[in-house]
Amino acid sequence: MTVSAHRQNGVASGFIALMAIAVSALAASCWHPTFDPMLSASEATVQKLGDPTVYFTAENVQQWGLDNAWFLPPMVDTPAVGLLVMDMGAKLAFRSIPTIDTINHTGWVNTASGFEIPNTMSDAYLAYAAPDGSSNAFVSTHISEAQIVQMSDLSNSSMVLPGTNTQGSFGIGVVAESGPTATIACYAYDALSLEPEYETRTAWSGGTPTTAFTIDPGTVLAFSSAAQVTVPGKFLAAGTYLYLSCGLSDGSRTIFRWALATADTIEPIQYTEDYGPLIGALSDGRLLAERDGIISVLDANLVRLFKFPAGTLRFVHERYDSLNARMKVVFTRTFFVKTSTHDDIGTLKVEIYEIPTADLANLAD
Amino acid sequence: MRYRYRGRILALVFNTIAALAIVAPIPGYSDDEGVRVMARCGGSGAAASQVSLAAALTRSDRLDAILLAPAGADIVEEAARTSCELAVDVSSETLPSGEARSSWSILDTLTGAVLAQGVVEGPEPSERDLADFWWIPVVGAAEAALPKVTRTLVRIDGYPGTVITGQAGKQRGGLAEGPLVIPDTGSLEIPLRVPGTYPWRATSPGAYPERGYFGALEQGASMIIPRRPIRPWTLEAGLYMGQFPDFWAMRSLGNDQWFLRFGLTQFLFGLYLVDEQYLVQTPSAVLSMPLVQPGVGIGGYLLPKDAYLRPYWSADVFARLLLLHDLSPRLDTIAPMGIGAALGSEWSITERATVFLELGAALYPFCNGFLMAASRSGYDSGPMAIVYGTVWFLELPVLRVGARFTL
Repeated sequence: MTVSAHRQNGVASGFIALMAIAVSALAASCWHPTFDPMLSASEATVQKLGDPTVYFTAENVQQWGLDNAWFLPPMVDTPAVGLLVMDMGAKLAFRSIPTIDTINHTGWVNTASGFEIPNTMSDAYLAYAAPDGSSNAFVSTHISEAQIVQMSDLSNSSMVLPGTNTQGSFGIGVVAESGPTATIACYAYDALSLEPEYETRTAWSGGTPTTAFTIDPGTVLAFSSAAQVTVPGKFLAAGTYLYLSCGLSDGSRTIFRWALATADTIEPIQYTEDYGPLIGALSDGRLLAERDGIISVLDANLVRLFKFPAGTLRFVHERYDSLNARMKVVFTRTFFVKTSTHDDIGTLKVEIYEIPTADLANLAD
Repeated sequence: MRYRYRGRILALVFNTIAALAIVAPIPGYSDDEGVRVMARCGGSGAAASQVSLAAALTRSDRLDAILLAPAGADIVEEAARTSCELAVDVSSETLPSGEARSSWSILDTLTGAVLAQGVVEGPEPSERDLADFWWIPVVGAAEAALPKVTRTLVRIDGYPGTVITGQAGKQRGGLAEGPLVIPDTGSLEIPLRVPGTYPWRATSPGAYPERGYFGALEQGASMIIPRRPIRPWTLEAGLYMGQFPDFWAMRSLGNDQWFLRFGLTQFLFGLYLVDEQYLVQTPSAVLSMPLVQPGVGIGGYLLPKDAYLRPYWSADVFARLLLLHDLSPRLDTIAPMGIGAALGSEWSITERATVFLELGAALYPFCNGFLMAASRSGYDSGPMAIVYGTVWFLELPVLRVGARFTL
């Protein structure tokens, strides 16, 4: 007689094991990996930028509104104040950082004097520091309104921008000039007159540009496709061209380019947004576009020169370094670490990085 | 509150698995063969000679070994413990008439039943009498009782070198206490009581342990020990934190006691089931992040393959590889690598398939601990705790569930 082996089944043990596995899987299903692709992307470039020019932490900061917040410093070598821009999509909230101790690397977020404004421009809103180094910021989030905000106390002056009150598509942007000034460009499509118009103001150094932006009656733009523009975007005067990065009524996105000298007579060239919407331009005429945390540096014909991962590293402006008589590109990185398991408070850390504009290609990936 | 609740569930799960691992049977070992008899002779007088009784029993060619019962011990229990088939218990005395009397009984060591009993009476025996004839009725009765408890030779065929033992926690029946080893001939004959059922377990280098029950129902019964060579490769599909599928291949080493493994934990696709919150947009149930973690590791099993639950430990080293759109794959500069350690247990559901559950921790050395903490501040991070320093970051518990398939 032959007796073959057979396994003994631990039915009860197996059942318990399966139940344990099922319960464990359910218990763990809300876990998020310790990974933020935007933060990791920024770190790759930060290591090329080297040590931050200024960095500071602020303790016991409320987490509310900080998921997509960024820091706007004044255009000086060592910022002692700044503006915290809390981007919450349909609205922006502002907090002053009235003091920055650059020795001990500490700062203070003044939550008592913040204010909020609606944002109709999605990511194309404008928050730009005054080129003269004063602690003023120019903020525009709507076709008909802009503000000059004092960073230290958030006192602000409202203005009409542009002159027309008619609702239509809109674009605005600021590009640094080779010095402590910048060029502001603004585009508006008058929904009543059906006329696309634009205005540029060069050599803006700061203060209130209210009178500079009375577009209506402004310069008419040769733009037969103006009615198709439904999503506002950056309108930039860079080099000898005007650029409008926007969304169209069919859901696509595009970039229009006019030659500045013939913008009122010759229709624009239309480009696809191969590298994402334009986020700014440099004093040398190069353009910056960003998609999925990757910043692409483009030439005037929107051909990519190089790219680098930016993630949470935000291009905030280009400033004039008077000491060395050169332009510098300024980035800031802002992130929050929760320090309490029960309350949404934690530590806010802000880093400011600078690189000479001429060396920007060193960041190429 | 929700985290604490889940934490208690995890603790319960861990304790359950640990308890099951502890109570899982462990292999046992034992010895012997041949017909053994345990003898005891007490009382008074010349006939109370244990030595002469043992000598008389030894002279029987049907009895292979005579063991003397330790003083004070229960003879049946002691005989059963030492695998004796019979126990011979004698009590002698000197009667007032001057004659000697030895009352004897033959006992079944398994049941304690009296198989035969009687009395030897006569004039006080001399030493020669004791050697010549006094114990003849006792020896005869023992030999006569032998068929009632006797074993017959059964044959066991198996791979040379296979070690056969009983099963821990089970009655051996008549199976030997010590391990049996299949000789080079591949066949072994051992005496076993027939009929009988014998739980057995067999181990052989390079093969999985086997176990079963041998039903020796008739004379000449035989058993073949099967042999399943160890399959070196196992594929593993798991769910990291019960959410993100990961894939590993394992190479068995050291007679299936150790393993090397390599594989990939990925976060390109996974589940993310968070509770709805007021004024907060509920994220998609499917989470995709451009991060994969290829790794290698080692591990060891704490129990053999045939254990109901098979606990193990493992340690892995992995890289954090970014797959950012429009960029070449690269190491995460915030935390380029990590080390994982886990304790787990697996349960066989078929011959080649097991399910497993493991709990552990992940340590990220050489990282920016502050940035790692910032990487998770904006999310509902579930039932996981973190500790970090300037250049390290620790998260625990890391939970994995899944299944393994041996190729």
